[in-house]
Amino acid sequence: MGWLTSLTSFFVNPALVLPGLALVSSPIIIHLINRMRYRRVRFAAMEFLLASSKRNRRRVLIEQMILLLLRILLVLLIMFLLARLVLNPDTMSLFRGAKTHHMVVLDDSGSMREIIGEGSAFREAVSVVQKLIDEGKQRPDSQKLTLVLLSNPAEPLVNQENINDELATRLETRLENINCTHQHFNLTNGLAVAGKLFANDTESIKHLHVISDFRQNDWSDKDAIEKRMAELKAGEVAVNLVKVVPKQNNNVAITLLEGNLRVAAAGVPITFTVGVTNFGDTVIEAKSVSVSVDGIQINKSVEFAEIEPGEEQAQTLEVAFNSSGRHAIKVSLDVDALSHDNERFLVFDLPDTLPVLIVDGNPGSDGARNLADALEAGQFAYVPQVVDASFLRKSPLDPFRTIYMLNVPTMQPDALDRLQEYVAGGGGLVWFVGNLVEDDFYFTDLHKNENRYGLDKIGLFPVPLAETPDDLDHPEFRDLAADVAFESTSIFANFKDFFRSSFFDVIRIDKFYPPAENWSSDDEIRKDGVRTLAQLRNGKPFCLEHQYGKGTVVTFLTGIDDEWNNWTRDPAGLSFIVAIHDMQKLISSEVGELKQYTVGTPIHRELSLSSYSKTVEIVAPGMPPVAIEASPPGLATTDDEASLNGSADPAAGDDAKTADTKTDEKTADQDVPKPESSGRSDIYIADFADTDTPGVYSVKLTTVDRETEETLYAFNVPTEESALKLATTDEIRGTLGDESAAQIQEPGNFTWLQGKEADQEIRRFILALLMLFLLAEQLLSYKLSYHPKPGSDA
Amino acid sequence: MTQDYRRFLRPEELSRIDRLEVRARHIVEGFLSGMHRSPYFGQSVEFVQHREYAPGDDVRKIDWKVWSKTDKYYIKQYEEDTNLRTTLVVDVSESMQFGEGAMTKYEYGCTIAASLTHLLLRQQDAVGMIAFDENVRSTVPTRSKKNHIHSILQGLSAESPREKTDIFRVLKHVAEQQSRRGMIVLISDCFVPRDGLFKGLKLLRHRGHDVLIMHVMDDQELDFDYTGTTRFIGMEEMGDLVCNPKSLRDGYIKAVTQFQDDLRLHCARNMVDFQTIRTSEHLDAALSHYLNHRIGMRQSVRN
Repeated sequence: MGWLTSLTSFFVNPALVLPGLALVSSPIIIHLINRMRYRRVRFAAMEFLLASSKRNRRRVLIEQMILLLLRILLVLLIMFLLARLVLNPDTMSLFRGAKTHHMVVLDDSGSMREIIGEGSAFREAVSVVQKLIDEGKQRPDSQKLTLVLLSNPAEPLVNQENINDELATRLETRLENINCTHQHFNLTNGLAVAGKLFANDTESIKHLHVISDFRQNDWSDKDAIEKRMAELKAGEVAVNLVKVVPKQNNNVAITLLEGNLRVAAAGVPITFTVGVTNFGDTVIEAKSVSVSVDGIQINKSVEFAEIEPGEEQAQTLEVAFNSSGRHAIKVSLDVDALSHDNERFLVFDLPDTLPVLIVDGNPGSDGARNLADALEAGQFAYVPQVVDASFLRKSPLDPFRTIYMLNVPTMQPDALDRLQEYVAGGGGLVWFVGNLVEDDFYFTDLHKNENRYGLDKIGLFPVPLAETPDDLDHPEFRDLAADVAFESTSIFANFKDFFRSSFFDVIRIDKFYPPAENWSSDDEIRKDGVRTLAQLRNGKPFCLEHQYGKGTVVTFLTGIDDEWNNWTRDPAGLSFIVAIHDMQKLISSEVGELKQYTVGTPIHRELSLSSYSKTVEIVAPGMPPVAIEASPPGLATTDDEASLNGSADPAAGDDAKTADTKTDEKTADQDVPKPESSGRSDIYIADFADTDTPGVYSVKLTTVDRETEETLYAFNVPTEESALKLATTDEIRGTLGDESAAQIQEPGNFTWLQGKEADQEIRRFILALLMLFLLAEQLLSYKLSYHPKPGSDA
Repeated sequence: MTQDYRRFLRPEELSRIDRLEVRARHIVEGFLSGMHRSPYFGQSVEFVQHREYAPGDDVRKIDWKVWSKTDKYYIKQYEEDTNLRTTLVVDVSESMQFGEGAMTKYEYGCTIAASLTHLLLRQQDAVGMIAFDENVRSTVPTRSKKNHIHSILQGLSAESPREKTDIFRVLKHVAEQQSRRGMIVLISDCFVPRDGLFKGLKLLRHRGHDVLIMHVMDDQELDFDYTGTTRFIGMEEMGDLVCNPKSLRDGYIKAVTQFQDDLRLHCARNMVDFQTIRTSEHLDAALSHYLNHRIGMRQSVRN
């Protein structure tokens, strides 16, 4: 019956095709019946009749055949007229047949905000929806509409409602008020939800209209899309992809804004990296990125000379902040086709000082003092604190950005635990060995100790040490080879560039702790995650780096006092200071956490009622402050949030997380208390989901002492949505798979909607043909029949 | 059975024919003096002409007055009224059985025969009848008795029409039977081989008979007004045909017209009166039209 399906696709009223085809046989049947049911006449003048028959047989046959053919054609043409033949099914209206269910998946992702003409791609898409409704309401109650926003497919705006004037009026204002989000959504989720919604409808003819801009980004996941399309096809859903963006615009977006805040403090210049990506097809020249700090534009900008198409270029910017505390920085570009990605925000908490802990195994030695001096040098805000090993057992380690372990012979197990916890949580750790080091402890407890976090094979100390330190044999006269050769690695990259070889030459290493004999000094052979940052002249490692949990551990296999080397003394002392500071920038724990989120991520705050009041005030960019009430875990439902948001649009108030999750999972979440807060009954949760607008959000908590604590959150648009490169029809077809019969509508082409006119042209032609055939049939049948002359033969 | 033949004597029709005079166009040999001019020269008051004596002529007819004046032998010839001897040759073959109207051709033909018989007998003319199909089926001798009509009607009704017409044999038989010249009225649809018919007519004319053909045709045979698919079952073993009559009508009419034209042409050539009569026509009208036409058509011709 495939031919029949393909045949019916040429008709606006396919239901009439089969009866029409059946009727085609009627002239033949009538003819056959006439042949079978004849009158019997005994006739005398057979001679003349036979002569006439003999003479006219061929003519009569041909005439009869022509007449029969004409009558069949007449029936066919009438069927064409009634069933409304359309030559090109692509131009056919979707509003045909009996009960039709139109599901519209409206893409409201960030890229739909692209400016097209006087409106945006999203407005264009909304107008397509309105056109669809206008068309559908002309056949009231025979068309059903389900309208799904890609941002929230689980909760359709309209769910299987009959398209009629009432719905059209209701939706008109509602559609105008829908705003396009700034977020990135996966198209396959929309398709999956559409498939599920359609599964409940077994009666109607199903049409899925995906109205989107169809960027290449959306069509990269071929397997998933192919799978969804196959599911839809299996569900007998006709897929109609409606493009709304006619041509691709160039777009330049700020795709990166980050700052090195490990060593940031008030008054210390902070290096920010600004990345600009050219998503267009042409080279972009002379782009200037302006910078605002705490809402005020500063007299600094980042200049980009030339950016190739598709290239992301990064430039650095140094900004010093005079005061500690919360700061927000915003970088922005000129407005282009897609404006919201021309800005990027970053907020951070700037500390006054950067505490550093120096644990000295040999209290009173010069090493700790030299190190403290080195840290305090320059414009940095380091506050070193020299303690002995017992400090680790007593005091909290979290405030310290880095912990230096100098010649620490051994540690109590609880101290070791706390140190491990500190490093695994992101803290920086630097080892300097010394005479007191107990190689057994270092091997058994520090190196081999399988840490309890199960993160690494290697413990806090990267190598098994030899039993005793070794002397590096100095040649009498220096040759070109330095004692230490630094690798071009992350920590010492700048260092090496800056100092050149002459500065290395002055570093003299007298003693060092070699690794155990069986320890290979080749990183590639060991592959244990430990990197050699610097080697001694004899090939033994001098400086090693490895990750422990979130933290970084740097190990110097030498001591820090004069007995071991001259690094802390002039002339090599300068390089020591620089090395320590560079290292600090990379291994310090990040206390001033970068609060940078993607729009749509809900703000989730847990607060203890013993410290804070339940009311949380949230200031979204460009919006008046909104007060929400924190609720106990497990009670925070989507509906509550929506009502607390104070948002005018209920649909936009939904938890954005649900955009990518399924409905049933969401329901399950509501009953299960959040794990992190299940233990304490006074922990309340405040969720704020309406974070679609990019910018800086301020969350203010009020303490029981009526003091306000403010936290800033930076929300930026996802970079995926900045890539405006359109998927061509061929690319879409390629992604859909060969099996898919989806229709793809080009932008501005609405003939698929206005299909009622699609058969206009052919209808006139058929009508003319019908008249012609009728006339021919009448003439022929008149000719073939007997008509007595009037008045003759009374 | 005895009353059956009377159906051919439709009183109202016969009464209307009553007012007409049946007149022979040719002078027919007869025994009785009457209204008709005799084709024979006999004893009469009306002198017609003299003719030179030829050996074999009756010497009693020599006009001696002329001989006395001219010394030559002339004989006197007179015009003589005589009885009309009419032979009705009625086709009772199967094809005559056809009829879509009130009467079949056979019935119509018999009615004509009866009417003519009645008319002629009233005028003291002698009437004989031969009914035929393939062969001569019945023969009624020529008589002028009033009640002779019953014999003729019986001869007609006794026959159940069947089989194929073979007219030459019949006409030959008629010619042989009718040694005296008279009028031969052939009542038939003439659905016979044309050659045989023409040959027979020629023979009759050759024998000096005045031949009249009453060509009886049914309306449907002439007009072919059938509609709808029809199976035509041929009479006289002519075969069957299923057809849409509308489509064959033109060809059929053409063939029939051709047939009639043939007959008319041939009859005209042989001085045979030919008249097509539809079975739907009023019998008297047809007869009177024919007879009137016949009276005015030609002057008497003597041999």
